[in-house]
Amino acid sequence: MEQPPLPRPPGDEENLRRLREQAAERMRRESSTVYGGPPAPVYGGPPPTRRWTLQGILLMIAGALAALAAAIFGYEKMTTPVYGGPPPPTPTPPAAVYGGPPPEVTPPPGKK
Amino acid sequence: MAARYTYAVWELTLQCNLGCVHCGSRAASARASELSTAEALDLVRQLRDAGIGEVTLIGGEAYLRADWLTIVEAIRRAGMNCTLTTGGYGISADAACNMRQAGLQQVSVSIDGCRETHDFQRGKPGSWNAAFASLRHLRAAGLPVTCNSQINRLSAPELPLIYADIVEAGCRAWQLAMTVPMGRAADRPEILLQPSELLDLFPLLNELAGWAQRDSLLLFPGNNIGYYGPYERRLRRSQGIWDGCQAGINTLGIEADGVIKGCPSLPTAAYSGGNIREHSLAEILDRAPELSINAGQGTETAWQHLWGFCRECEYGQLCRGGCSWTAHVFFGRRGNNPYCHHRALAQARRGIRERLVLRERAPGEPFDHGIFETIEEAADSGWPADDRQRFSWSQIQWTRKAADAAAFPILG
Repeated sequence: MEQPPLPRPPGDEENLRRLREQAAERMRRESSTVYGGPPAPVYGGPPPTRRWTLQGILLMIAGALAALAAAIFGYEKMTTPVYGGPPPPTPTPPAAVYGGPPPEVTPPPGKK
Repeated sequence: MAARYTYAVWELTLQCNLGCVHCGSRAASARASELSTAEALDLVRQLRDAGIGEVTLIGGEAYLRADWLTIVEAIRRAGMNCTLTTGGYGISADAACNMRQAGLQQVSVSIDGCRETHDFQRGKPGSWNAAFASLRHLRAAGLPVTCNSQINRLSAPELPLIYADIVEAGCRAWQLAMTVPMGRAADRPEILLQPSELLDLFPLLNELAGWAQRDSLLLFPGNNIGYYGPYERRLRRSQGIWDGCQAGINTLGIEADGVIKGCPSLPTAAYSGGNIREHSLAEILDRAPELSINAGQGTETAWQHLWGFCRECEYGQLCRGGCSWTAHVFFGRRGNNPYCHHRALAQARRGIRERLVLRERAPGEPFDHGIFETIEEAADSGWPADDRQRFSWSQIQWTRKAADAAAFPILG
């Protein structure tokens, strides 16, 4: 029986097979950058450079030093009264400890 | 259905009950001289003799032609598979049963977004509801249902929501295709994705491919989605490696008035191989150079048409410029395809962003196109102020809540 005209056969089947293999290999390399493997270029952009990594570490150290300085010198500032504001609250006396001396009774004004 | 290796897509009529903003054939009324029933039945015989294994009926809207089920029956009697691609407006339960009885084997319904986006793109309020009602009727009649979606700036952010809807509707497969500037889509370049937007689209498609694998939904990237980028193997899992345009090799396109092309999407003026009223299908296949554009795969003849980026591309000899239709409707000739993920990645690595700008408007006929120019600019340069509808990863609506909150300038 005569072959129908469709599908048309390729012009060079062997070369077509080779081209497919080459493309598959390239695609395997490209997909390894997405599904794992070496650092992936995101959306075709360059991978992070060593310069940026070092800069990030230096920024972290500077930030830690600044936080330490704030912890040491910032405490005094917190207790500074605000100009024009109310006086700072009187510290509450510590609670009596059981077994200590009895509380001192102050007579009401006008009584002797 | 039996496996098919050869495929014909047949526009039974150009008459349509929708008015899609991206319709490549500008379908509305029937063509002036569509094939008669007798001519159509004779063409069925010729398709079988040419070796065609499956016929997909399209339009316009195929079921607006009175004798369409007679043609379905003839296709099935000839031993070919028969499927339908439809906008799904108004398929009643009875109509679905009649389709099943005629021998139709599968129906693909177009879903182009959530309700508001779909209705806008389909040019008719209520078309989203109608499409899902049709899906229900078709399933109830026992017909396998699938969906197809256009990818453009309107639908791309909603792809995860479309996915959820079609899985819920019981679809078995989902075919995706990029909207390209043919027909009415050529009049609306603002809804087309720019090549650099593929850099955000393809990771999304990859994510959806993972979902599809999990849910046993067959994700089927159309011929203008690719090529060879890092996600290609996962996206084209069901089809194997992209082998280049298959127009005229294992695919045929038929217009309602009997014009034969290598692919249904190709512009008529440049790719018509002849009319079935003047020559037999065998003669057209044998002699028409328009149907031999992809002949000689694996030889230099197959890639001598390449130009621009594709000419220098390492995949060029196999890829042959991706989808001929897509390249042609952008630039007026095939062989240089701007919708390529590999290309967008390669250009981004060089710090370049490609932007397509309309230079000549389409004349306004079925299957027409304008002419675009590719502008290469720095990847980090600003976008034109009037380009408001850009797509990016941050716009993707993963949940209904996000979709409700999203604002679409073009719909407003």
